[in-house]
Amino acid sequence: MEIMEKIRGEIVDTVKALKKVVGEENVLTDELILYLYSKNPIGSSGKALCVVFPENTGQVSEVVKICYEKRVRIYPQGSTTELSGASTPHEGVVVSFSKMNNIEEINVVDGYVTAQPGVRLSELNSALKKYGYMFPVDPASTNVATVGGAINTGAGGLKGARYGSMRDWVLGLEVVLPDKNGTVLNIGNKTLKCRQGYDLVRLIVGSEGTLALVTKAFLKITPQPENIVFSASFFKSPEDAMKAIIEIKSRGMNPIIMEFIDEDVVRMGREVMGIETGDGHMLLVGLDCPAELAEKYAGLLVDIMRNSGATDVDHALSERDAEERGLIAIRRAFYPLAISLGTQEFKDSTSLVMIEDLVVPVSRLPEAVRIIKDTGKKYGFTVLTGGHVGDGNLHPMIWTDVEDREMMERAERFYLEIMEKILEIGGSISAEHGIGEMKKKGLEMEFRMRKSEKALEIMRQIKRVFDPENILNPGKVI
Amino acid sequence: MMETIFREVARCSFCGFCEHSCPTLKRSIRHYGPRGRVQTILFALKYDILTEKSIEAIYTCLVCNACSIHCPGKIRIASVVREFRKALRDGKIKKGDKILEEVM
Repeated sequence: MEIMEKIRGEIVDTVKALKKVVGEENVLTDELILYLYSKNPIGSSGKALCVVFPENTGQVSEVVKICYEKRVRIYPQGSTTELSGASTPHEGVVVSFSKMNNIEEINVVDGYVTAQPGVRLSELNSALKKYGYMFPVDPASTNVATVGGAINTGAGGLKGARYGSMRDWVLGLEVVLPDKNGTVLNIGNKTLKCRQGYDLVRLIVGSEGTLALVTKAFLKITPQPENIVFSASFFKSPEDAMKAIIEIKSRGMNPIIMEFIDEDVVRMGREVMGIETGDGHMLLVGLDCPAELAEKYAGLLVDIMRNSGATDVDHALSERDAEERGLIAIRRAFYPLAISLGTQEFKDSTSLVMIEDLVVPVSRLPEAVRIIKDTGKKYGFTVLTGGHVGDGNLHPMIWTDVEDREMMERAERFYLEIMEKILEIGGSISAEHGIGEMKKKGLEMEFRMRKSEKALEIMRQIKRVFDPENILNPGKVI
Repeated sequence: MMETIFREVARCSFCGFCEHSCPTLKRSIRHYGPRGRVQTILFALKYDILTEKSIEAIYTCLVCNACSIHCPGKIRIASVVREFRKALRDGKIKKGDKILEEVM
């Protein structure tokens, strides 16, 4: 009892000190607010003690100093759309970057943009569009995901095969270290090339908020493609779809988008959501080209698809054409469909869509799809599978009843088995969602299988160097 | 009615896809956006959590329905907010009378 009172007293003191630094209106302890910042999209939730909204780097540094002095845990948050539990607080202060949301500079000549962590990726792209440029990392949550969140998650997206993930687009960072002084560091640079000894920038990218608080980013930008032609093709088997992928790669073509959607998604999308579509496994390919060559490039895609055994092929001459004619509809319906099926099946309780994130060498994709489907059957789940096949990244999804403990445990066993099998065929347990709290066992499994457990120990040592008191997002990743 | 509202908000997966279209969120605090509002109603019905911020969340909604089209779960967000307001007024929400009296 005495201990609890002491803890409560310390929280009150911390809140008072934080209010002095960031202002009364920027420290919230309302019960509802605490709940809203404790939840995540993977069906679990933690416990925030208060939520702080700093408005500049100086305030972040002061917040860190207070928390360090009182040894209070700090949990940085963007828009909390991550899918690994990396942003979930456990008895600590949530630092929300939603009020640090300015795009400070767009420099087309030097090829970078300077943005605060709370800027949403879609806002960044709206601003860049005026200059004919874009920031190409586009996770499904791009409308809501923030720069800071994407950096910490190491996000990827639909265009990953061409443009890679966040690690390829962050030039430099301003960060605040979780130390006594709330030290502000500037690492990397605005220049497109920079060799500053060990690459600390790429160490922070994908560190899931465990090493430092990102307060500013210098991001590389690229011109928007002039035009993109699309083909939507349907195949009897994943192996046939693979033939098309091999043909595209062998011809030296480098599509911006190459998405696979399995036959169950296609069928249920048609039956449940009324989407007009073909039948079988779908391959959606988007290839950039000059507008005047659209017909030629689209024709080339159609020929490749037909020669690879596609039973049905449709095409579009531009992105707008593809949207208007519904070619992209089934890809967009991937996640909503699982939610819809979940809510239909578990009407009287809370359903949860669980999305996995695995990556295999592109050549092993058909095998990976079979593994996922067969393992799903073994554990009694219908698995919807799709993903960014241009880079070998698959996102199998199942829907579960959160309140059914047996089902949730079965789902965990199912995902662990998939991870093990994916590792056996040369894959990795995460491509772009990260480790968070959900995949720590998977990460251990991966290093164990590669006989590289020492890597985990090195990571723990790195964590201690950045965060000696283990106050920044503890318990995540490792 | 309460059961209908609950079934609607229980579908929220907390994905946040609805947020960018909301004119009141302006990137600041979560309860001023549709995800926050749906969760506010869920917390009120499931855990009896109703605070001053809950009322702020519910009564700052413009009921413009810009969010619903982006919801993968097809939650009728604006309708649910309207129905919840009515339930508050009708005294059907635990603690609702007291909080409304304090805040409004």
